[in-house]
Amino acid sequence: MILIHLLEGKAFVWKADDVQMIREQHGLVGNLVGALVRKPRQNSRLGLPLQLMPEEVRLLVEIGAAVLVRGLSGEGKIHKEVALEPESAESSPSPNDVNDEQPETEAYDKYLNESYKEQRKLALEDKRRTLESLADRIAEGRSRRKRQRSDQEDATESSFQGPIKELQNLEETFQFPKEAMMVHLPTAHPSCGDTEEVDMCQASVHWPYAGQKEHEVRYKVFKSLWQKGYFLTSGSKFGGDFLVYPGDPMRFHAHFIAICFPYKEEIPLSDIVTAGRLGTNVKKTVLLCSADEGGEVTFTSLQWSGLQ
Amino acid sequence: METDQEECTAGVSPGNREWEEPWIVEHPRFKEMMAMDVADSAQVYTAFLVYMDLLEVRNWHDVKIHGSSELHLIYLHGLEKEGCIPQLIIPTPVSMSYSHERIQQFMKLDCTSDEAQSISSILLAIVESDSTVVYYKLTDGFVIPDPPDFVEDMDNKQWRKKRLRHLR
Repeated sequence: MILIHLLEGKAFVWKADDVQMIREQHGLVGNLVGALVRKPRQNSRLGLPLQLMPEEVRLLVEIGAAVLVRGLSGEGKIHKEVALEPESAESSPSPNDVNDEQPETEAYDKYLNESYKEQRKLALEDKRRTLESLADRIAEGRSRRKRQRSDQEDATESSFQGPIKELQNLEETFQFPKEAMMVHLPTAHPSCGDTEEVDMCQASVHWPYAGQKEHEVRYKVFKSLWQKGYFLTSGSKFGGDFLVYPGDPMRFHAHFIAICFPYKEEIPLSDIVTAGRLGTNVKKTVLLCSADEGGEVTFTSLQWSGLQ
Repeated sequence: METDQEECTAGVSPGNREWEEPWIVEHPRFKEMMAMDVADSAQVYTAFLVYMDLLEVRNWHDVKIHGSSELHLIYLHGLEKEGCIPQLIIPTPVSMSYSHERIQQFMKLDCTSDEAQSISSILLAIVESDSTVVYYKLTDGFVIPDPPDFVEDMDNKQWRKKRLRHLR
């Protein structure tokens, strides 16, 4: 089950696997909004988290592919601080905070230690294997050098012991500095902490979209287009509600700029002219989309007609 | 009889008519449109301008005038070139607003006419206050746009940059 985290009305997916599943299995795109660790000073390519439009969230939850949750940890802390204030504002609110974080830090330290031990063992084995495979050559080289240094002396004895000596004490002498250790950077929070499932049917501070007229129309249009197999992204950069792609947006240009209107609401013609002109300039068809109360969705294509 | 009626209505609202050229009011087609008595004078005036634009500027053929008492408007029917499929034109001033529902009703106008067409589409002729006309094609359902001109632009560096930006 995909976890969608809600933060101040915005929905995020933090796990790379979930993001892949949303795109490949469910045909939803979302928008990557996180900075890339290795390239933080650009914004043409972005990484996790994936931000989802409210319509995408609702669709994923309605088809049973995802759960919408919101974190409680932040709130809990605020409550505690508020509770502390009247009694002992000066005394010390810090120990409480430290206590809160300690188990997590401890667990992480423990994990790091274990990882270090494991990596040291692997590095040790690696070293041993290398030494063993090179043992003969090392011995040869040493004996040659010895012979050069003291021509007359007999060197046959030492040639045998050299590599063995190093291999024998390898366990104790082997140095594996902590700095050389590889640290696994988690791409998702290892434990989600306290979360609460959000009811999408009820409007709240966290999910203000429930019952909004605009959202209802947009959702019906979104779902209808998605069911037809189109890929959708936000259309704000073309002044519409959605951009409609015939396949994955990485491989196709958008065909349509979808603009949603309630079926019976008047649309000023100047808006139609504006949208139509823009659509022609970017070689896309403007799609007027409406949903009536019954949920039936109507699409009308709008194109500028040059007439010579 | 018809002309008399016409002059009567013209006399009733002289304030609205100041922007009209006297020859337009005298034009037999304009009188014909007014006589249909289905739309207000602003829409009729617009319809007449579009009618003239189609015939005189764009050389359309067989432009016919129709009136819909249900939708309160004058609309036109014509051929862009000889042998083309007839198209339905809805003339309208730019200051108007239409709901999506009404736009869909316009399309049904076409279906009721004799020509059975597989795709119902209309031309919306939007008339500016300076009497320039822009045409917008409205089609029921999805119309896939023309593909981008790849051959023309392939070597163009600027275009490549643009495309990169577009991919975002």
